Amino acid sequence: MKKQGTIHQAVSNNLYIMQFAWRLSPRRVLFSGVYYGLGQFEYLFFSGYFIKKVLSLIETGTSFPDVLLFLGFTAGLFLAVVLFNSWYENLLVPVTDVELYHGLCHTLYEKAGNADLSCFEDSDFYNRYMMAMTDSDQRLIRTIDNLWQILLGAAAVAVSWVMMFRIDPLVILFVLAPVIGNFVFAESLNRLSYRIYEESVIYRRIADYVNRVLHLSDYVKELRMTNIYHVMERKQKDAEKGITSTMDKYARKSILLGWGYLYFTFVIIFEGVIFYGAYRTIAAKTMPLSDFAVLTTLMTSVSWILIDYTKALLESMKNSLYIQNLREFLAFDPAIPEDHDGLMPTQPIQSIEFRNVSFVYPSGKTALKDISFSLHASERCALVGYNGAGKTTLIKLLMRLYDPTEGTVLVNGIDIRKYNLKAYRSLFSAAFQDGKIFARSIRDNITMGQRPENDLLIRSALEKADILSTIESLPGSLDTILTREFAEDGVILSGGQIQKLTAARAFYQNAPVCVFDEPSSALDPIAEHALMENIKKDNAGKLLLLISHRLSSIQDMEKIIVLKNGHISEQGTHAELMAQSGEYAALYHMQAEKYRTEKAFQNPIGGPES
Amino acid sequence: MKKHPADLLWLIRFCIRTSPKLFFFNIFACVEQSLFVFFEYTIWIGYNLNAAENGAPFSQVTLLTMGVFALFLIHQFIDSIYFQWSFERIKPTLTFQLRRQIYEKACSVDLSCYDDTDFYNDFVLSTTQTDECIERFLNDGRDFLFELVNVAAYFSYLLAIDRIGLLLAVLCGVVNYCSSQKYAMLEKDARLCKTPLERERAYQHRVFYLQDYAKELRLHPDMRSQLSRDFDRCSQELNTVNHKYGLKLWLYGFLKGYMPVYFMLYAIYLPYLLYKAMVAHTLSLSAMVILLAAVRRMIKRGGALVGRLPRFAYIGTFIEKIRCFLAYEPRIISGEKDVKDDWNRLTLSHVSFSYQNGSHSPHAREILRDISLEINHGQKIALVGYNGAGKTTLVKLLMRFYDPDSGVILRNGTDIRTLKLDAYRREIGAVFQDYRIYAATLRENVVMDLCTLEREETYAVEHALHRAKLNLAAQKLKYQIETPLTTEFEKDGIDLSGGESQKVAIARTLYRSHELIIMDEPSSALDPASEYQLNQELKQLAEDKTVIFISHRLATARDADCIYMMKEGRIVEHGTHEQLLDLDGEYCKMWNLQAQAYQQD
Repeated sequence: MKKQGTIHQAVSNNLYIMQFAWRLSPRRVLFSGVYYGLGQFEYLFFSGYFIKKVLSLIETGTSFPDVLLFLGFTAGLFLAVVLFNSWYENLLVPVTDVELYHGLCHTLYEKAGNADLSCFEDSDFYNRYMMAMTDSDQRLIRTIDNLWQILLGAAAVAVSWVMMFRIDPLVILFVLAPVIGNFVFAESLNRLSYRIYEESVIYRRIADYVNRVLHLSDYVKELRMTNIYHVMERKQKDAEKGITSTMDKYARKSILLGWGYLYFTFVIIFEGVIFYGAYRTIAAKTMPLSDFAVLTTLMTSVSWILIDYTKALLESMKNSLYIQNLREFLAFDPAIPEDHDGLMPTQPIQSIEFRNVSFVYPSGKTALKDISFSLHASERCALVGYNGAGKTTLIKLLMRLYDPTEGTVLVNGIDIRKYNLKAYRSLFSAAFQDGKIFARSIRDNITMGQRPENDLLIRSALEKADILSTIESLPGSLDTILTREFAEDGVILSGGQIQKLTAARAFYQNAPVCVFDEPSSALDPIAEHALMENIKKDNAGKLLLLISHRLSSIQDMEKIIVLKNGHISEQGTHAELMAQSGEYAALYHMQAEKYRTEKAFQNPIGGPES
Repeated sequence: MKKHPADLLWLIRFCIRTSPKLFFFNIFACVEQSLFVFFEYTIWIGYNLNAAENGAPFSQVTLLTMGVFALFLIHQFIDSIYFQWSFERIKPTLTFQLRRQIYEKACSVDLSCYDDTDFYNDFVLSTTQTDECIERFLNDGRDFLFELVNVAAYFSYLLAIDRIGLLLAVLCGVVNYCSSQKYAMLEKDARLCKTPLERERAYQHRVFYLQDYAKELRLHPDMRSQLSRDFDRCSQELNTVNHKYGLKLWLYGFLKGYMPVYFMLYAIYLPYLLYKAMVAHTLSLSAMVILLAAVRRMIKRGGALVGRLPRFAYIGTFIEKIRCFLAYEPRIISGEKDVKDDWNRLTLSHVSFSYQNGSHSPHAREILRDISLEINHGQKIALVGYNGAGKTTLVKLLMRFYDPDSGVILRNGTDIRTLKLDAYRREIGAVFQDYRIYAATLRENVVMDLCTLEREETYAVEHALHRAKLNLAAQKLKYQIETPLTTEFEKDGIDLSGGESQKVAIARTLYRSHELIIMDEPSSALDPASEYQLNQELKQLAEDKTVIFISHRLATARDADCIYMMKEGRIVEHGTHEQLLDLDGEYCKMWNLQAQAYQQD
């Protein structure tokens, strides 16, 4: 039952990929068929026809020049064939490889770019996606080639059998031997080697893990300061023992099966056919030498064609799994399509409202429960709370990187799902704590693809993030390439500098709503203070959402929302919350304690830089 | 092209040392197999065809056939051992042994190697791909040997039977070699043009498919279209290169493919044979068939042999990297002196340091300049200051991850470079910001060494965990301290939360009862409550120990016996909190900035 299903699935999957590839590069699909067809043709031509023809020409008394003519014809024919093969291998394949990769990736990116962000955080989806992505182009190509090999292999099997049959109907019986060899012995061998693989896969994973620990720079310090290497060494030893003993455990069985396979697939048919041919020519004298000669090469081909054919069949089952992933991934329907059209949001932003919003991750983990609050024009709001309380999730919901599982988010009184997504998102400028740097110029990393007429705004954004002087001291200034990905002299920024650059990016965007998610966790006190002041100053008159663990920097915000375990435990101004003596007040006191027992307190210095 | 014979020999010697029996058996089986193939296709078929043409007695053919069947029974048995077991069996043995050597080295190379991207990349290449290197070496080595023996067999056969054919086959080998060389050179040129483009394309690919960038791309659609345009451009340029080299490659590919086999064989050699058979009548038809097949095989095998050579150069580069890594001489080497006396004080005297990695880095600037300080038993020391001021570098020097360029670090008055490295480091417990949890049992994660499983150890581990406030009962620790951590391998394993992991990291330090404890911003990413809790725990843990900690949260630092304020690699101020406030300098400014808001009400 199950086998039936997988075979059906394999056929359907392989056909699917053929159509897919045909859309991307029809000529590749077509010519790879020709290429494999010619390969089989050549094989059969030389093993089953050519020698026989030459010998029978001689036996029938054809003159030497006429035989030469036949040879000339053959050499000419294969001149064309090799010319085609070389064209296929050296021109068509490299060019269409690029085409296929390009087309495939575009399709995948489109899909992935359209998939909801929550999908990326859903390990099920992500794994499938990764599987669809890894080596996808190579596998696509292998699948095309493999499919042709199966189709043309079947034809070659048929032709080679017919050739044998025409020489002698009885000799076809010898074909049974490689059939048994391939479908009985090789089949069992495959199952056995799969079992060996299954049993030792855990050990391989352990070995990979040890390998990772020993080469990643993350572990370097602990490897030197502790003896954890001894633990790793033992794990590796166990892994080695696990792998080798599994191999030894099944050694006898696989050797016996392998013996049978070799004997049936090669010895019985080869030596059997030779003996039978020798009998027919020498003892019975019923077979011409040309037929005997051709039999000695033909039986080799019969065996190898069959071996390749069964291998190709096996391979297609494996490919089918990959295609299944790809298909499922491409069939995925995003909840928030990136090209979602709708109302154009009107400016200015009068209000943001969360109405009974809950969010549950696809894995079932609840991140937010029944969140309700509202913000009005030019209000500045801080989100505080424990690690993992859902602060970042809330921001992502606001920017419609996720949609709530329950409840609605309203901007200017309209459900944000009704807006044109692109236009809606352009209402925000955001700096996340895990902001990423692109391997491009600093300018591109600030403008993020926009093309400003001059650098004034970029400079002012960098200035606000307190990193302009650092950048201007670099040889390339704004044109300095970040990371060593492509540029030998690319600049690698420190954690603090990346944080500043991410902030500058948000300053540059200058959208009506600003969102900063722990923008200063890696900064020193002076830089932190300066950045916080600039964030507040720069966004005067705009809506601002700020996540921060530094409670001192958010006291003057119009609204503070305290999140705990996914729900809002308190909200209000600093004064109101302090008066409540609740969660916020407790957090605040914890942080303030050390600063406040100060006796000789001096007047604070006014500005961030003096 | 560099050929790397020394590197290949090194690996062969390594194989012989590690697993001599399997290695030699595999060589034997491979040679035996190659000879049997020659025998079967040439000698045996030749005999039968000859018997058929010239009428040998059938009884003789029958008898010999029986013998051949029996002979192959043995031969295929050996082959089966080889294919199904011995050839695969040697791989893990070799891989693991090589990895062991690399790992041991990895534990002793200088930390500065990890800052050197080139060295690190080479190292990563050699460690992560040892299995691939061994695999390739064995596979290509097997095929090479097989072909070599085969070619040698046909060479001797043709030498005895038909020298013209031999000459032709050798000629083909030469033609093959020349066009292969030319072809490989063209391919290399094309590769050089393509590599940077492919790297760029791979980068764009990564940005598009990795989770890390998903958010950025959604929020900045312009960036996305720019990357997408770049991706298109890379594809286009790649195909421009493909077209540019494609025509020449086509031609040489054709010559390489056509000339030896088809032209030489069917247009030159076969007519010559036919002439001998049909016109001169000096050759029997069966001999002609066999000779044709033999020359054909020799040409093909010879071609494959020649074609395999560049692959060894490739493997050689791999091995060269591994050897280079294994031969690396660390600059941080252990001293001779034992560490016996009790830890008393640590002194830094005029220490300067820069990350130089040789001197080729243009950014080699001094990270630490003329640092002098003394840490006495039981003191609490705080390092504060600006980003990039050198605080983390300073503690790395204390742990002797690097040695100072000038100046000395003294333990109880003895230069730490003269002390036994292991013993010196064992006295120091470090809580890094980026501590790691290992896929091992909780016990092992605390002990950080092979466990004895004795009762005392169990008690000490539990005690350390208790002091670190990791409540065993409250957690879902099924097997108490034997619970495997992380779900990497075990379904029963547990993934600890950030806070819990931190407690395990603290328990490690507690378990070891180090003399000196170093903490590098352990709390920077924590919420106020967790930070407060952590500080309380650390205070408790450090009661009677010497502690150095780095923090941007000055509140954490104020109780320290001495606070060192660092700026641009120098200690600009030091003293107690009160002293520094009185000084009204950099520290005071920082403190006030952080404190003002809390003090307003």
